[in-house]
Amino acid sequence: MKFKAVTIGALLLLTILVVSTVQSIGISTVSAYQGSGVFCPNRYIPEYPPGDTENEIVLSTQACYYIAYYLWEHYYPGTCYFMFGDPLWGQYSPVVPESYTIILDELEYYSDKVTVFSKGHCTPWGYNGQHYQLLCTFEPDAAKDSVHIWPGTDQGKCRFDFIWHCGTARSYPVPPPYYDPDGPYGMPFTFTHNVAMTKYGSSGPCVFLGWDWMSPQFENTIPQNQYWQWAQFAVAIFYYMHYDYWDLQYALNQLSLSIYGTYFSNSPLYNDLVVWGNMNMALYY
Amino acid sequence: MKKVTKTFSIIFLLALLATFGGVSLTQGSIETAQETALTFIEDVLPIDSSQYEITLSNYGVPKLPDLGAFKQNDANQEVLTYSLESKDSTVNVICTLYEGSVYICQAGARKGTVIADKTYANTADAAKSFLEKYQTYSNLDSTEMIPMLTNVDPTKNTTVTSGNLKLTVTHQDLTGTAFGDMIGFRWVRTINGCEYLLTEVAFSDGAFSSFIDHRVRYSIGDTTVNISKEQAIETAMEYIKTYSYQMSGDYWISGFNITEEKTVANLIPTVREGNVLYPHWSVTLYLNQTYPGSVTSLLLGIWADTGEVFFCHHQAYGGSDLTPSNSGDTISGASSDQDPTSPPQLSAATNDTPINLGIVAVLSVAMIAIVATAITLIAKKEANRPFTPLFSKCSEHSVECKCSSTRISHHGCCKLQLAKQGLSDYRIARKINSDPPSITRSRKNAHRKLYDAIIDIEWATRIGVNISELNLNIVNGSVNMYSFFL
Repeated sequence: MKFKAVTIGALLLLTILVVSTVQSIGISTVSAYQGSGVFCPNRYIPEYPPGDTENEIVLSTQACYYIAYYLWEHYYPGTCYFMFGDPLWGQYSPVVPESYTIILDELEYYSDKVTVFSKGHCTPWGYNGQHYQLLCTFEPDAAKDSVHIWPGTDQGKCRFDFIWHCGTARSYPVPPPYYDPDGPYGMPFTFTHNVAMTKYGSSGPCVFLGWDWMSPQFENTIPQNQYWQWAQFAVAIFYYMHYDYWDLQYALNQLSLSIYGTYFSNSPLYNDLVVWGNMNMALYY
Repeated sequence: MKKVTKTFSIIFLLALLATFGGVSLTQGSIETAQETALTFIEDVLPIDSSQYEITLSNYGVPKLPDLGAFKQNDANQEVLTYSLESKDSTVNVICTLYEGSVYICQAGARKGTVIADKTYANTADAAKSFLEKYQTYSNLDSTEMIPMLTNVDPTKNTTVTSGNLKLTVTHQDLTGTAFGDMIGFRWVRTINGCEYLLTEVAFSDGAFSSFIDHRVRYSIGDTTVNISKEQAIETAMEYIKTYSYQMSGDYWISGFNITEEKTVANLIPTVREGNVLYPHWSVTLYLNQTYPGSVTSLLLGIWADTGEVFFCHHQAYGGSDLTPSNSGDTISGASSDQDPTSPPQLSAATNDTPINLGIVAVLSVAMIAIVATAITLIAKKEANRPFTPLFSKCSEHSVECKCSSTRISHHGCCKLQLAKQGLSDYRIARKINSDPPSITRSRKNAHRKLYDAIIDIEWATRIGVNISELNLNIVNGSVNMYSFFL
């Protein structure tokens, strides 16, 4: 009991010290809550690709855990969700299409701005093959752009989105009327509700990152530098943005220089990892 | 108990001393790094530093989390982020130091344009001046490289060779994007067909943009190439006959069929030991179909001198039914960068705030103490509480839910399962027979659990517990074997 009193006393004292010091030096704090959602559906379907190996599932969960942690810490006390699928051991609830809808909606409901990261598989669907769906933990679940993403992001607060699934940068820009017989289409539009993002832009309130074609699995070795895996690349983007307060352009450029020995627009990433919208956005925006 | 009181007294005194500048825990190393970076900015970069107020906005020693078998050698690096402010121009300069020397630098104007130190005839002239100043600053010999810039037209993609030195000039007019009009100058040394990067400097809209010098970090080792491209491919084909990868448990995949005409082999340098580069063949064998785990190719590394395969890895991608031919082109449309919803921009100037090192020290000490105290308290109180997945039934809908303590709340899990059963209305708080405060409480509770877990993992990492093992067990559902996972 005495131990508890002493430690609580010390804790209180130090807390007061930190709080008063922060106030006295005038470190700016965010006046509005920012929220974040990290989705890692994981998918184990050996006979019917796409699916993940066991190692990919473990590595992706770990990597997304770190990303969720950085976002949680950066946006504290904002709302933070981390959801991963567990198709192999069945200990946890699967990621289902409604997971995206509900969590995104809740994040928008309780936050002023929302940052989203999702890692998994994606396939085209719908009218003219221009719709995309994020594959969930179990077949045939898939979060469709117009059906599950669009309603969850209806407040237009998901302004920083990194959707690490295949082809998610495609079907953008969208011309009026912005929808087809299957509804609004393409992940950039349905996540941001913004029709005016430019490719590798430097202004505007939103940014969306996605892959133009095939998104590499996290356990893949980066061919030009076998000391890097894509999991580390993904985590490093958020690491630098969190700890060094860099904007997206600096983070991508730094990683490009470190991995490929050249700047981003001269690297193999350019036009493969596509950025729609404002590359000058940092995690605070 | 006396010891605990004493410890906290010391921590408190340290914090107080640090507040008044009496103790600076890392002041020395930061000052050295700052001096190096500042000299580079002032003496080497083609920026008129006298026009700017230069502020260190962040200092960091990167330590990326260890995620498994592949490890970056990011030790001995320091990253300094500077803000250069003048009336009409704000420029960020980021210097990455390797063992105390500038290894990477990037700069970008975030307001106005960069104020140059003088007027250059063109970017080749600016690059030449940069290299001359860099040579003086670093004592790294660039005398062979500098003359190669003479008479180079930077607006054209060009290659200039001098002995085994090659300069590649790349021009990408990306005006209208964040990159601007990019011109890059890249020097490599070609030895036995293998290109070793020396230096690259790039400019955006005529202003310095980025720089990397591999000579600071890497040295070139034995450059012998005994293995031809054909031999490397042959070796790779032979090697994969016995290669297999684990899908899960005892399920291993082997017996690969290769589409040989797609095979790619590149001779590139890589680190074998320390920071010494050796040539190796990077061979990609494309499979004739997508194998389990979305695997489409195998990547092998073969040393060019010995022919030894030093790594082989399966490469997988995240989608099917998605190829360039059936995914189609993007649809052209809106062009202006306006936002129809126009959410207000809120300022959050944390990253622009100049850092007082004494304050950093006191905050660090205080935070460490708080975390340590919190862990001690929680650990003492809850060390024996097992990690137990939650099971229960939603009273209204009789659905069994299964959740974990590091995930969203049990309440939230149930809502997801209900939604999956057809209750697609997603405004949880308003659509179920509950009330918003209850939903909020369960959400906050989930956050607290996530917070606890993160604190634990950070702590475990610090004391050397293998996190990959931990995470493996998280998904295995046997976390309760770890007493620190509360």
